[in-house]
Amino acid sequence: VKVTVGVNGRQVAAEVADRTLLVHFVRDVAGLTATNVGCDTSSCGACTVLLDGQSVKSCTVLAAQADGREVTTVEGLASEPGDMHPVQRAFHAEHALQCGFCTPGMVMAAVSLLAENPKPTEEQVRSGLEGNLCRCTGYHNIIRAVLAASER
Amino acid sequence: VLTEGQRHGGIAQGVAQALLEEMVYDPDGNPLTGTLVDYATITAAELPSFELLVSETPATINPLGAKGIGEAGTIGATPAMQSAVIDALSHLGIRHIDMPATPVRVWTAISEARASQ
Repeated sequence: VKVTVGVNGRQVAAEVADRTLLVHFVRDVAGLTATNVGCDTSSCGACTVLLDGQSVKSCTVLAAQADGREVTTVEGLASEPGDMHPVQRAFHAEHALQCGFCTPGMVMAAVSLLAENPKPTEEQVRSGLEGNLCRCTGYHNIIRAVLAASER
Repeated sequence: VLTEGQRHGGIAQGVAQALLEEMVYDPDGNPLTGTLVDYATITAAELPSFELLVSETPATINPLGAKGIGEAGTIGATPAMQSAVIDALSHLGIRHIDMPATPVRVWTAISEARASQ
């Protein structure tokens, strides 16, 4: 099937197998490998990207479903190369990662959460990020980073 | 910063072991907890924020004076969590629940304790 997906503002067109998942399209066709494949079953959230501004787990979206739509990955968050999005800056400042595997998905989920609810409570951040698993941080600094980003 | 983060993560994993995480198999040996959802990996929604206090003892038996920090939180958190569950149920005469103390196990223990009273 022929699909054309806007990835971080760039139109990426390719002929792909019908069953191609969006995460594989992003990684292998668009060549953007920050988005990780974790569980492959939409349990862990490592592959979270924005589809038309809303967070989706890209391991359970078909590339064909994203045809004609706009995908944002963590590489496309900052307004220019070398710069950081406020959520990325907060993750950096609050030490909200250790091994970093969940981080691209966690950042995208946080961006989506703050777009829906710019001033969340700690509890709302915790339930909002329930679909993104982290094994290293105990979530403590991730929650702090999202709350810090919401202040800006 | 790193030692704080390591302890946060350790505490979370210890709590998860006490309350949620278990590999379960059916009688034929098929894993029933084969995904990160069935296995009940702990999420941000089940955990509180942590307050860390320090109790330091020097490491004198190695040349660097170094110690591991990665599992310090895990070691303490599991028995603390388990003891807290038993303490909360002690007025019913409950002295033990197998780990992980899942909602079903706690509910069953309460029901059995009430029935035998």
